[in-house]
Amino acid sequence: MKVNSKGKSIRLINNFLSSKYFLPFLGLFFIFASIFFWKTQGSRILSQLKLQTRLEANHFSSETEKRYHSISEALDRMAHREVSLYAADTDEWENDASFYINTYEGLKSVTWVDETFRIRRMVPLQDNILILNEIASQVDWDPLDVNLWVPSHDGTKLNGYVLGTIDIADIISPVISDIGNDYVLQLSQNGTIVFSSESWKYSQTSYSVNETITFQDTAVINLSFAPTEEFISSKIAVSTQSLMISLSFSLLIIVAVYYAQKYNAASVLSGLRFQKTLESMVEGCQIISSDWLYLFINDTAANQNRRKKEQMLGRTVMECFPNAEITDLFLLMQRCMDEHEPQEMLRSLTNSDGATRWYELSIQPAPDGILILSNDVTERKQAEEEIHTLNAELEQRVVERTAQLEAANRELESFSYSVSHDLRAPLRAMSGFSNMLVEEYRKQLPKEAQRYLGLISENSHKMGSLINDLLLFSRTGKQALKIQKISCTQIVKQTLAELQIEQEGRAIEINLGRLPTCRADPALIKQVFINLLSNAFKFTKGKKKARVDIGSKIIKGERVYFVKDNGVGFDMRYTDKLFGVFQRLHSTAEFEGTGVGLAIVKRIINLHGGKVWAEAEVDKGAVFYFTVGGKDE
Amino acid sequence: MNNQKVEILLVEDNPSDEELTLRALKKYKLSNNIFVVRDGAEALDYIFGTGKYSERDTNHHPRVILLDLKLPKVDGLEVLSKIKADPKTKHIPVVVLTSSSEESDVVESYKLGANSYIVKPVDFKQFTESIRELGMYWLLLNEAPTQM
Repeated sequence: MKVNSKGKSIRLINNFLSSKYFLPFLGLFFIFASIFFWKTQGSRILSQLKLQTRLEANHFSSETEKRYHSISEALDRMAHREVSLYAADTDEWENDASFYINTYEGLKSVTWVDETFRIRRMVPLQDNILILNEIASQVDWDPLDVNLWVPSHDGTKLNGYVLGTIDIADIISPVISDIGNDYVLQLSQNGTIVFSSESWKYSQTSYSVNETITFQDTAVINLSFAPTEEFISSKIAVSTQSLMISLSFSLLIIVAVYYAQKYNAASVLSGLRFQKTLESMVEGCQIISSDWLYLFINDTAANQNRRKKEQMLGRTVMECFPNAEITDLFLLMQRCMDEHEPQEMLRSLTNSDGATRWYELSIQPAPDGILILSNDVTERKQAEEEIHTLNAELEQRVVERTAQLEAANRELESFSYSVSHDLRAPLRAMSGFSNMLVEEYRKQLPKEAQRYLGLISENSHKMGSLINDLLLFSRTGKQALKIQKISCTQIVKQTLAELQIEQEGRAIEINLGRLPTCRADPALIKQVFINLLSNAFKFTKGKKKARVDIGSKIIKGERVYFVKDNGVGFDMRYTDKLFGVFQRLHSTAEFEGTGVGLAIVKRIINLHGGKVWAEAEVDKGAVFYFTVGGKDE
Repeated sequence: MNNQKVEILLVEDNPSDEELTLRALKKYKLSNNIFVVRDGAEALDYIFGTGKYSERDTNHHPRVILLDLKLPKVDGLEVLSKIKADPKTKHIPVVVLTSSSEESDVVESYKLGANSYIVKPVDFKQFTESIRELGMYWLLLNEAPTQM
């Protein structure tokens, strides 16, 4: 059961893989997977971008603060030195100020403001000469600059202030160059924009980060920091690129699978070579899809269907053949599709002219459909039918002949029965009454009349013998042979004993050689020996030293039995008459007999499938050979 | 009708054979009470006391029936089977005396219960000898069972 269900599920998967639903399924799967991947990657990139922006903004503000801090320290040092050094030597102060301005980027000018808040010294002086000796608070300072006041104490007494004017744009410019072109920023102080990158736009606010830059207790600058549009789109481009890559990869896979499926589905058709082969096939070939569309038909199949190819291709079976669903063929096609098992069928189609043609159909499962091969077997079928008819006729004829033969046989039987019964009665009467005549009227009958009556009696006796022999002959072989293993030696000994009377008063030398056993009908073989031996005894009657040899030998690889005598023999010229019925080579006066004995021998040997023949010479004797067919035991 | 008890019933259609048989039997003084019927139907009538033999005393049966096989009307084998099928007559010895030496006749006769089967020889001397032997055996030597 488990194996079965496993096999079933494997088959279901296979079916799905090869079905038409697989490809759309695969396509959708890849598209969704790509979009999902794209989405997650996109949001990851964006959050990364935000984080990076915040880090950069942080970095920016701390770098700027550091710079401000160094400037502040430098000015502090100047304020300390003011009391001891710069009061006497103004040049020294200016030198230091110039040095700081050159060293610290962003430090635009350094001013000495005395305790009365009047401006006494300033580096650089050129642009600001007019404000010298003016009250510092009354000077119209550039609002985009930040003024850093550092007081100079001498013990408890305030000497004045070192005032550093810092240009915000300048102080941040190296930091901006540090962060490169990927970010833009805007700086504002108390709502006034003090710096703005060229490509600053409000649209970037979704990625923008707000930060404050604190210039100690002097000023707080608001920093709006954002990645540039190009940077954002370059980041987005990476994820779009990966989407593109994954989409095209999906497409590639789909195309690959499509072609693989297509190749599978029409693998028979895929090569032009195959198509050509199918086209030129002697057999009809059709490919039908699982939705019953004719996908391929070769010329033979079109002819067999009695349709044109164009009428069938791309159409369903039901369209081409109305009521196709109720045919046996349709059921088999259905089964082939459902079970993926090949089906066979012999189908007959009757032409419009009434001639029936027979087709042997082989329906094979093909991927997503079936392949039907059809072979026209009409001629074979006709030949078979012809053979069938001939056989039936032959059988009928055999039956008739057998009946005729049986009838003939019965007639023959009743004939021999009549012979046996009816012919003998008159003979008995002839013999009987002539005898009675002699017995009862002997005294009245002349000698000659008595002799005549004796002849009548003798002849009727002879005729009785003839009838008996004839019946024996006709009966021989009527019964079925009872073949069994027999000992010929036994049979010959028995025969010799039974023929004792015929040897009475004679000195016959009998030599019984070795006789191997054989397979034959014992009664019939005994009859053969009886006939041959009594012939041998009969035809040696005139010999003083009669001799009869019985033996066997191998002649031409075959076991041969023989009975040999040294009697009168016969002329070999008449050998063909020897085995005929009532054929005699000696007169009855010489040797009595009816001439049936050898005919019976021949018939028995023939029945056994053996051969019988004789060799003789007049006055020297005769040899009768016979075989009994079959194997020597 | 002969009032003397019939000892031999001879069923024979051939008058020559009948005469020869009768002569042989008489020659050896085997019986003077021989009754001859000439076809199978008459034989059955005689044995079962039917037809023209309806007045015959059927308590008495012949000591032996000599039966030819080839007979007019009802053939010998049928006569034999009827005799041997009836408990009242089946003990009567039946000697088939016929010209036929057909194996099938011999086998069938013995199967139906024939007591002996003798082929009539053509030769007169042999024939007489056969009749003498069968008469000697069935009339003089054979002990018939007690009448039923």
